[in-house]
Amino acid sequence: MIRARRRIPGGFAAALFFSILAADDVQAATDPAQLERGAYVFIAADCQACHTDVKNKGAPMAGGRALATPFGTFYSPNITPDPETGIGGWSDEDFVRALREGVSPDGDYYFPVLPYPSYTRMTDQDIRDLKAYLFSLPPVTQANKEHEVDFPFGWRFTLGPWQWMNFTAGEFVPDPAKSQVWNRGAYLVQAPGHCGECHTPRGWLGGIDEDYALSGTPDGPDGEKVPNITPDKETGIGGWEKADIVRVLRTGMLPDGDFAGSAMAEVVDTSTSKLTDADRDAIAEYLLSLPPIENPDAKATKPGSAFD
Amino acid sequence: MKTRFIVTIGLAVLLSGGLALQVVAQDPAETIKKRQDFMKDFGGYAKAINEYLEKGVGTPEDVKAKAAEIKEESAEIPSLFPAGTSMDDGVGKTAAKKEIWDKPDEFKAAAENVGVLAGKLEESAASGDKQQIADAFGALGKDGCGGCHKTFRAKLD
Repeated sequence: MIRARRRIPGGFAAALFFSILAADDVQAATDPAQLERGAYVFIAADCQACHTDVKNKGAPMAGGRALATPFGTFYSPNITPDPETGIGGWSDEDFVRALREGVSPDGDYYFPVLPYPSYTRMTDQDIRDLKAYLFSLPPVTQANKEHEVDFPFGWRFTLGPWQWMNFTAGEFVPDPAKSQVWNRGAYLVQAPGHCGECHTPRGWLGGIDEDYALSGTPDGPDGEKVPNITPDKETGIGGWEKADIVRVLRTGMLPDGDFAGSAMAEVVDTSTSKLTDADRDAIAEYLLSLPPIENPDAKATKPGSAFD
Repeated sequence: MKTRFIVTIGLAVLLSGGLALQVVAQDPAETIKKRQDFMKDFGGYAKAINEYLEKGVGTPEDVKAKAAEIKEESAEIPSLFPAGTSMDDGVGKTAAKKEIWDKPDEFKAAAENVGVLAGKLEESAASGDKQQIADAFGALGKDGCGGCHKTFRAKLD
């Protein structure tokens, strides 16, 4: 009897303890500081650009935007917290695994059209903050559209070997020999900013060719040319000042007075124009520090070129 | 006789001149050149306004004049893109995407937006307040020029 009596308060204490934990969890999910951080990661990772079908006036983050690639047309999925058609049922671990490993909660491999080969370099903190922010957005019920992928790339089971050949998971490791600003720039470019997904050429299997990192490609998304953003004097941005890079990120204006178009105009609009000045500076510093790579097939704008 | 001869020659000259003009107007290469020069002018205005903002070259009055030019000239944009002059028509090196002709209303609206935003820049330049000018120029560039290029222009080189 005495034992039983003792058990009751013990169980009650445990229940109380867990309910406090649960309350803590709820609080964590709506922690304003975390949401603010997540909102910024969301901008730096430019989730909106692909996950909102702006052209057809789609609901924010409900997906459905078509992305034409050499491998077929992909339609972005719904990433609103709708439990049925979005990611509302995902745990934090599911979300981390998706971005870090390119694997869905069901264990399916994602097509690398989701830039997880870049997002894998994001910090755990950034990924978790991002998830918290996405879960604070209004849920939208909209079923995902099937990709239209060319044979044989549509076979998802081929994506396992693809990952093995083309992908290494793992967080960005700062270089202690470099400045904090440089490391911040490198992180933004390589991880959330996923610049290389468009600016780095891909091999015939669609893997990013790191030997030519950021040197541009004539076969970018939607079949468009993407310029060389390494500091090569002739074909890249070697003739640009740091301020030219900062300006194009802030306003889209190129050194010759032209304004970037196509996908980069979107990137400027939804991402880089909303970054902090310090972050734009860091990106510029990092880009100008890269080894110059010559690529005549995808030239960058030369300063003043339009008015020669 | 002599009068008839002169009149005939005169008519022939007029007629051939008229034809030649028409040919020029319909020559896609000419059209492409014309609009590229037009856009380079816009780039020149943008560059000059930016020089004022970043380096203090010129005055708000200069910015106002440039903004007025952009506002006025932007009305010509739709006429610079006659059918058959897209990058897919094989008529010359142009970055004009076929979306211009697939979505004519959207294209026209994007061009009109350039005029509206240039008008706002003109007003802000009249105020002389540098921050206001910077904001209005930023909006014109990003949403006006960039807003149109986003959907309707490809990268060439």
